[in-house]
Amino acid sequence: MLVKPDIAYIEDLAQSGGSDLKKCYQCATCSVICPLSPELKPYPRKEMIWASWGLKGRLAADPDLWLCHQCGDCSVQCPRGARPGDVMAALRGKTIEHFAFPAFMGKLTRHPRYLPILAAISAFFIGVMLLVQQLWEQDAPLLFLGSHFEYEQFLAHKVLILFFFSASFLMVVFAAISASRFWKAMDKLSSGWSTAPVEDLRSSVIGAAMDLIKHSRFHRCDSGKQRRSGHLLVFYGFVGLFVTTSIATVLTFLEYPLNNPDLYPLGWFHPVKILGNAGGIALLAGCFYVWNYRRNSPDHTGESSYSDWFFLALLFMVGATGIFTEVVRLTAVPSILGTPVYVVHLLAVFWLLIFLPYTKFAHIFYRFLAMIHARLNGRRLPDAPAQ
Amino acid sequence: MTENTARSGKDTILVIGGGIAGITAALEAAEVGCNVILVEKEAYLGGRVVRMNQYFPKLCPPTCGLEINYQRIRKNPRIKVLTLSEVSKVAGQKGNFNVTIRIHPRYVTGNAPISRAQLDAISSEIPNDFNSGMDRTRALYMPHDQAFPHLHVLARYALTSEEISRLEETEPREAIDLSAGAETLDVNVAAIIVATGWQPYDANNLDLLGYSSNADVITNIEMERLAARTGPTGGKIIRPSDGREPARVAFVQCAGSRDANNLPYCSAVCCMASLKQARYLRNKLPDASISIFYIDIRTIGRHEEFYYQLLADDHVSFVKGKVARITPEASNLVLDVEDTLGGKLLQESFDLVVLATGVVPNQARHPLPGLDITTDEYGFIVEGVVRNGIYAAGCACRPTDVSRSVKDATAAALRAIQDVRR
Repeated sequence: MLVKPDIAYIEDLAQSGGSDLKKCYQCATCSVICPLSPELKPYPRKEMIWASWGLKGRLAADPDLWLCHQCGDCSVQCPRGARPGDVMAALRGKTIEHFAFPAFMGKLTRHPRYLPILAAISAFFIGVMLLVQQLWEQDAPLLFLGSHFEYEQFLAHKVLILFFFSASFLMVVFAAISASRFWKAMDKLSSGWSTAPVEDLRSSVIGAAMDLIKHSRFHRCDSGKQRRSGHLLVFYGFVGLFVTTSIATVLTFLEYPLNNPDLYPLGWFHPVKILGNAGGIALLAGCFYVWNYRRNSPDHTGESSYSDWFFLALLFMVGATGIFTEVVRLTAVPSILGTPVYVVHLLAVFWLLIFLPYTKFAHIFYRFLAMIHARLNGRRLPDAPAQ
Repeated sequence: MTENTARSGKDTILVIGGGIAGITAALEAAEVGCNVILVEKEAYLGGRVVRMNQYFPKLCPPTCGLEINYQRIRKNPRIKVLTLSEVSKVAGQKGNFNVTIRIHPRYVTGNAPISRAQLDAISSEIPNDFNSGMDRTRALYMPHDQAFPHLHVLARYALTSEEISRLEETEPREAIDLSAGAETLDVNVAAIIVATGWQPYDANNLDLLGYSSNADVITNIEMERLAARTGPTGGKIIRPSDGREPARVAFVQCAGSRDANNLPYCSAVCCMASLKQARYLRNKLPDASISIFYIDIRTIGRHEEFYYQLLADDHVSFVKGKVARITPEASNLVLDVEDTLGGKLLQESFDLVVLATGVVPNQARHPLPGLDITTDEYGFIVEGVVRNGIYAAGCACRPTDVSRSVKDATAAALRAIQDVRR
């Protein structure tokens, strides 16, 4: 096979965290050191040479990028300082970009120069939403007036749900398109690397889900043990908030609160309330933990790229503004203070939502699919217990 | 050897280091009529080369070549050999260096041969440095069969007070001077040749390769001694742990070399050294299977043929992949490596593992005080364009093999001779 290197791809990879890639001399210390690498076609040595050659399509279809949990052991032990762990992270970013639909959205979160465009999109979204509110509710108050801030008056739940539900739906569709392209690519180029017995679909999905829930693969990383705690906090914080929001949305959709005017605000000890508050606190604490860890990188296991910081900042904004929004309600502050806090919160949530398929956020489904694919193809760790 | 009347002056060259490069430079200069002072820190000449079983590619023992050189030294009154000596200070410039040499006591005078009774008076033992510490030797010892000068050495520090008093009463008393102390010698020389050589990289630094915790993980230096007739086993290749002959032997290339966490450079000789040692094994243990794990096999020039011959040997397998970890399992050692040509992780079990450790310049760890030389970031000497009367040869300049060290030494000698004759 004649290899046609994609020079632009290699250069872009160097820009997004893989700057030491070309130091690699293929000794494979990385593949051996990796506690998660399977016996046949182990990673990340093969990824290092594919990346060196700029084999874009080969790498995009590679499930192994997502079997890596970025512990950084390979980067620590690499005799050349080629930092395979950082290259793997950069390659994951490239995969997300590769399968992004529509394609231009994949680029927007990868460089700070696109921030103004992102801001414009969001301002437009919020603007239209508020305009609809004004047209729908003729007697809605003007933005910054009012002795204290009233959410329902500022933005009716039905408007909120209409917009956010539509945006979510669109993004889930886009994500599904990316996911299906990823799956087809994996099936075409990365099948048959099996050493263990293959599993059926049901067992693969359940097994992969259990791995995600327990972070059991993450747990096998040596250098990254601390990072796992941070990731668990963020992960479960996010899950808590997601479940809370889903329940609230469904209830509102069913007009349950309207028929039960005394439902809101939920009492402090209402299970959904507890879940939401705990989720928010866990998310924030996790963000602090991860932020601090990434800043100091105590074991020098990995460099953080713009995409890492972008996603982390976004999660932090969602958590922080969410808590502020709750404080606004509890303290009944004037609209002039309450409005901006709420608007920023809506913006942060909106960003998180529309970037589901495009930021690092997308790793949640890419990883899940890759883990299912690995199990379907008998690509478990040699000494991992069978399901 | 202890007389402090070394010839010195405008026609004198100082050679620091009595290994193959230093011996060669000293002889080249002395045989055209220069006076030479050859300073060696050990008790005998020969450096790293005398410790080898055979050298590549001809696979001849170093003893015959060294013996010829020793003869030339013996016959040449212009060479002054100072063993157990170190250069402690250098001042001055080309044509006129003032050098201070510190001579440590051997305690053995050479005025009379050491007697059996004297040898028997000592029972304390010290690690045998000649055999890389793989065995021990009495504290009054001949460093090795072919040692030049052929004199015993007394490790006085290791003696008990009873041994000292016994020695004082044993004949011939003039053979040993227990009251000898370190001496200082000041000489004036026109040029200096630095041939301070190398030492093996400390394999204890390679945590994951388990050298410090597994007796059957040895270095290539230790393998030379195991294979040598003058070595700790008389040339039998056996496992240090249980004395068994190994059935499966692994060579781990680049053990510390080409490694940003250890020696970032290629040590240049280890590939050929392992290929050579694989041949020792093929001769001595014909049934043993041998695996060589490598990143790249670097056999330059005509050495390539040496490699091809082993490639054709079905008892020798080559696996392209760096061994990342060695762990003991039962009485064996398991190597973790990826066969990068097949894309498969291997866990292979061996009886004996040889680490191809690299070359560290002595100059890096023991720089010579007052010597105006430039070294690179690893401690290898880089000669400047302007000739300042100080020249370097052999592994003091870069990791290199015996034949190139010899050529280096001749070149350095020529430059030094030009300073003397000017």
